[in-house]
Amino acid sequence: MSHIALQHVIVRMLYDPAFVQRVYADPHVATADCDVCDDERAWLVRADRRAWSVDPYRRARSLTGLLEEYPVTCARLVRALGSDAAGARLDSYFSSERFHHDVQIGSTLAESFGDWLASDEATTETDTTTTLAEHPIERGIVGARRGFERRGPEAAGEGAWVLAPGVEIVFAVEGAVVSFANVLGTLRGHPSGLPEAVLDEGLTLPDPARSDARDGVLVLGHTGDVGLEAVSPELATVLDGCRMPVDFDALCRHAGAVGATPDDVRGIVDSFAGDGVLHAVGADA
Amino acid sequence: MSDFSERVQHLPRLGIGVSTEYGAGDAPGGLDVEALRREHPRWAEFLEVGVETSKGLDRDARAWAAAGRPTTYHFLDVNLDDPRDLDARWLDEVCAIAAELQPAWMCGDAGLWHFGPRGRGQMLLLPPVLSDDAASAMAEGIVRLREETGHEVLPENPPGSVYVGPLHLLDFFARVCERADTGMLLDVAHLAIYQRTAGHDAFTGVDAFPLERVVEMHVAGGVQRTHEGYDFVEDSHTTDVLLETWHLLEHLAPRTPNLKAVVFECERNPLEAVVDGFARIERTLGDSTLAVRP
Repeated sequence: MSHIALQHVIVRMLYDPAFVQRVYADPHVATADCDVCDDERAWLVRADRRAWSVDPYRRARSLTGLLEEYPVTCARLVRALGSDAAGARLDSYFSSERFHHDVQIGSTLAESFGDWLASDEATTETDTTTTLAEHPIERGIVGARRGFERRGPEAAGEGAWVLAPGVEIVFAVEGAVVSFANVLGTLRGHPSGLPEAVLDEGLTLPDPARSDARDGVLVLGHTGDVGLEAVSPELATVLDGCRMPVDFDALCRHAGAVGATPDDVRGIVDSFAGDGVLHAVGADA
Repeated sequence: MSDFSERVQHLPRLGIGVSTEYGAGDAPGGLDVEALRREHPRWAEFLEVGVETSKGLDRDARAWAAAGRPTTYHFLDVNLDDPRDLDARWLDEVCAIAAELQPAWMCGDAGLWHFGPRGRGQMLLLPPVLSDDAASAMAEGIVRLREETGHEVLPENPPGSVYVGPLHLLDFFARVCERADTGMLLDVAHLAIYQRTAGHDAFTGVDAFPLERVVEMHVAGGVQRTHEGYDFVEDSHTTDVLLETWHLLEHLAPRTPNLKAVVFECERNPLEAVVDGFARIERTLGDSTLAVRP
């Protein structure tokens, strides 16, 4: 199966000229963390080096797609840094360790980019209480849209519960759901479309929510369109315990940290299972 | 299941056809497939439908299939050399679409259609790693897809700007075809691009390839470009077909005894722009088995 690992190295080389330079300088060093053999490393450097960069718009095309996944966070970054500096910062994702690591292990690009956006590498020289105010919501929406079925090594058997595919629970500053909706509405009103709106630093954005308190935000994408619902931090903590399959007793222990009793947990589980937010493990089988 | 040499005898002759993708007919300047069929029915004997299961079939493809006209199912979203990619959900979607299309067979570029999970933001198309191990893995994927769908699965040699691996492209696909006991969709435009990129003559490796495996061929235009002094060909699907592509078609068509179909991939061009290309394909096939009309 090392041909698959090699394909991932190839993808990284197509996106990142700096990585190409490193591979051609020393393929063993540049791909030391990849499950490829010495012969495969040698194959990588047989082509004309320039052949790797014949599509100079690959990064820009991908970035446009990613701006549409994180319009609010990227727009705030553009306002904080200016469009030129922000454009260069966002483009640098494709040369980041996060990008290379995540492509190599086969992660989703949108989720990888979201994790990178929350890093110091992306937000340095900005006030993160502004630039990242709505980021958890956008990250949750990305996860909900993918709707991957959750599995975990600790998955319990019969009687276990898990958030349904397409449902995410995140924590964000109190009021972030409202400010997210306001900013997104402003961006969507731009006559040139969402990516242009994100990069148009002349377009003033509504202020982010300011609070020391945090809300839970339930991201509901299990029925098609994605909806948001602010919930109490306590309820969010209980639901967060169902990110991976968990049996009822373990969930009760988890919920005990926020003062919930087993009866409280039973009520939560019954209610959210009825709404399709929680799935009984094996219920789809 | 019988072997390929027997199965291929039962595949229908489709003739000359045209390809489409979701929404191609509605794009500005796109080919009006119905108009092509009305004005030149011999060049639209079947429709090759490019399918991403996440998008499904567009109005034109549904109408064509509903009329009971011949189709092929060209997948655009599976990495055949990765067994994880043939997951149950995708296979269910494929089978549902195939049930509607009733294709003569399935086919598609046998390369990397997406990195990471299948989904938006992950799609691209790269050639396979041209190694013996990858050929075996791809053959396994083809057999699995054939068994799951009940349709022949013809791998197509994909385009690319970089090819990685020790095997010649044709050697790679000869191994795939033998190990999967399958036929092949030979894209002569992609082959011409590969030969140029590798610094080969257009016909390198052709004589050693088992041409009885070729069931379908593709012809398409390409644009010559230069980047930092490096010359390459973009698989543009314009109507400007490379000279080597024509030469390959002319050489191969009379030598492929099981050729059942040829597609001119020109879905993004208006009808008046594609006439010369179709006419040349038809003339070229005059010496092939495909010229014998039932």
